[in-house]
Amino acid sequence: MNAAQRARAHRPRRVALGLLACVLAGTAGGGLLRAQSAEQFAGRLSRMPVDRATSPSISGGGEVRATLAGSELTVSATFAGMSSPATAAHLHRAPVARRGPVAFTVDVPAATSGRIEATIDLSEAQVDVLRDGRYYLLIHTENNPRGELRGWLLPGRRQP
Amino acid sequence: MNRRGLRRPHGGHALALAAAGLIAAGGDRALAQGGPEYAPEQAQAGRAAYESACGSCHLTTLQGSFEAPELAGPNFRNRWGGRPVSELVDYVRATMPPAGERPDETGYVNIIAYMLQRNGVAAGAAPLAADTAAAIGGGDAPVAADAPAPRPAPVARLAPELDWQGEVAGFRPVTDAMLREPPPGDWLNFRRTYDGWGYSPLDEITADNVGGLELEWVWAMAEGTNQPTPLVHDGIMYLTNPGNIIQALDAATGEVIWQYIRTFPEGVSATSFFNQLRNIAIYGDKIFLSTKDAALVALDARTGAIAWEHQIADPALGFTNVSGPIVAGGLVVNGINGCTRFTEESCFITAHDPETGEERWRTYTIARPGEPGGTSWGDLPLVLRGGGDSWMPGSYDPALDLLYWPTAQAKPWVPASRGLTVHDAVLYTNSTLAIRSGTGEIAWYYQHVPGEALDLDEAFEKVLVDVGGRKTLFTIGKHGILWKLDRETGAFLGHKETVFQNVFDRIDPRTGEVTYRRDIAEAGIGDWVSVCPSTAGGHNWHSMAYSPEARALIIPLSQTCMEIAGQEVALEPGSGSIGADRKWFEMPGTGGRLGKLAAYDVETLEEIWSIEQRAAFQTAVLTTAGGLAFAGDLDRSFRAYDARTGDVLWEQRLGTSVQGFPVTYTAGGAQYVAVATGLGGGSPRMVPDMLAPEIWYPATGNALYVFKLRKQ
Repeated sequence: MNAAQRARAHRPRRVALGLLACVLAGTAGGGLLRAQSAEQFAGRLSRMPVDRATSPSISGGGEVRATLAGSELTVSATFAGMSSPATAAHLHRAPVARRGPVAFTVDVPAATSGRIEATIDLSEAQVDVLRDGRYYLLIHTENNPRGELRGWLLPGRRQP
Repeated sequence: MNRRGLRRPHGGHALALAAAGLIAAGGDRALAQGGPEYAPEQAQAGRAAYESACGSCHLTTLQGSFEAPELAGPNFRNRWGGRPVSELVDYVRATMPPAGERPDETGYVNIIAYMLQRNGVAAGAAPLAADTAAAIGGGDAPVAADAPAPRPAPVARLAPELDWQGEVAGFRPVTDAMLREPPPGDWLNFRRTYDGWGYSPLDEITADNVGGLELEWVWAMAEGTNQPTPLVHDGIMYLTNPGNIIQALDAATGEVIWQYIRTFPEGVSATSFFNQLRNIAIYGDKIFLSTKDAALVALDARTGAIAWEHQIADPALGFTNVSGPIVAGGLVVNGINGCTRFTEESCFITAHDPETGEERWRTYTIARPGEPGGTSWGDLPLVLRGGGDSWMPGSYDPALDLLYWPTAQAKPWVPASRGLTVHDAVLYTNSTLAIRSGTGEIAWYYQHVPGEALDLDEAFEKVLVDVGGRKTLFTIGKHGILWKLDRETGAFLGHKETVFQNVFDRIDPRTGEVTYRRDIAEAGIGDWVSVCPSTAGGHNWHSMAYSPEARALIIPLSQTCMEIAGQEVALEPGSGSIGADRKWFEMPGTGGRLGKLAAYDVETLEEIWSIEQRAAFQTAVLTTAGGLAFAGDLDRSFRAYDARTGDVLWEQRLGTSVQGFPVTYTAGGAQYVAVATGLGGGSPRMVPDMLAPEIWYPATGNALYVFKLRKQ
């Protein structure tokens, strides 16, 4: 079972939560449709690969969540405890646990802790990539220009 | 003492410099390039500092051992040649030693000066400094002639090595029949029974009363890497400590009866990185241990006196032992370790007469040129065929008279580093070998991952269970793939991926044949690949156990990933290395839960239950007829689980991380459960330790904890 499949195994729960969201959304037609079609993605932001020498200088953690409604992806991430202020953040495209090229750039505060909010319009092909669990958020910092925290957006809510 | 000083005990030294892979430049060339200089007195002081802080893992010869890389020679120069001295100083200062007393600033610089000297860099007038920017030269510098490498003498020593001498009263010799079917209250074999179940028929402690389990006695153990399996016979416990110290204890009270302490030849350290011995064996009136210095020793089980000892291999060539022996078919069978270095002998398993130690057979785990499987190493001469070590003892089926023995991967780890490709199968590494106990003949073999490329070996326990009338064998390695084989023929019966893996594009469900991911198959020297699981393994030495009540295998698993790149390794006699750089990260999709304990149905291989937690599991599993499974973790917790559901029924925090092989036994009519706390270890401990730095535990505390039910 791969990580994406593992996440899918929790889909019944996600659907149930989605239906609950529908109820809470009230009777507004647009809201109902939106809640029914929204797909959730989540990932734990954890340290980039470390060895004994680099481990003390790569720190922090957080989580990233995303909602796909139609072609619109809303990304929300929180992070804390990094070794130095953030310099950039990107969504990269790669299979789970591998490195890949930058797909999207998102704004990130120049701080060691903070929040990322972004809305991205995806093509159909990009939606397929997302559903296949092949986007990850990477936060770069002054001390670690190649990246300090990273987390894959995997289908479901459970990951963090 | 700072907080960091509280943990990171012994173990990991290796990785330290290993990861470093250190080395220096060629003498004349280095100087010609304006290379670094050092004062002679720095190197002199550095030698003492090195031997104190580094020598136990990297050896006083600087030749390295397993994950502690060579610090003098071509592999060091390949790794560090051309890089500034300051980078080497920074690396060593940041990482070494991973535990114990650290040198001061001057001490580190002196150690580097000594390493430069041992790599042929001549002393000069200017002293070396921590910020020396001069590059470490490359080239073929000889090891300095004024620093001869001590060579341990593989000489048998029969001097008494007892420092506490008593006698086991009324000792009853252990027979073949007892080993085949141990008395319920005994733990006579590594995993209690030949089939490797790790299961006891004792049922005084049950799911209903396990909440009343209380500490009965505790015994402090020697320092070092501690992963022991206590043996128990007629209420006497025989305990293997780090550094080849064996004790006989009253299993009801913890009272010591005798203690044997191995002394080692010069050049072999009792406190070296891999100084654990995972198991010992008992047969007749003797206790058998295989030693750090590659000997096999028989002790009188009554007194601890040496009955005989036999030198299996030359420790000066790197040979050692981590797994202990077992007794099967009337012979003492032992698999050697330390096969990283390139020698003509290559790796092997031996069997010995239990009365004399005389070697009866030697089966090589490396296929030799001109023999079956010999071409699976391409054109490599025998001397360059590394690996095939034994990390765990095998299991045994007396009815078939077959031993089932695990072998480690080839070395260096990455095919490009060994001058081969993944299409060179490198037999008989990374295999399950079915060996006839009387002759050592390989009846069949199953190579789980031919041409293994990532230090993901399949070198662990073999569990023999009859399923649907078929004689079946289960095993699982670092890929986290549970393999099901026919143990009469070696035929593949099925597999189960227990954790996320992205090593293989395909595993043929009919044959079990694996197909490497393309970038892994094509990786050259220095090419990084990112894979799951990591070298910590989806599974490692922490043996699974079988619960016949639940019809399930209960397996400790680990969820980490890595990036790995092969290094250039000098393909010449006397060289040899694991030869890879590695970096680790949490397995995506697990929420940072590094530890997993899960139960799998032996018929369907379906997962019945699983527990995931932040702390990695660091013990084998013990199952009992009371419907229980016991396991412990890095975060000091030892727990009893319901074997059918995984529900936690009892928990106790211990002094430091729980590590080893828990057992249960009876003494004086009562059932006891024993487990060790332990420090030290390789990837399966070091990786979760690094990725979950918030888990803190004391840096001392090797001990054995023994529990029994509270008195009513």
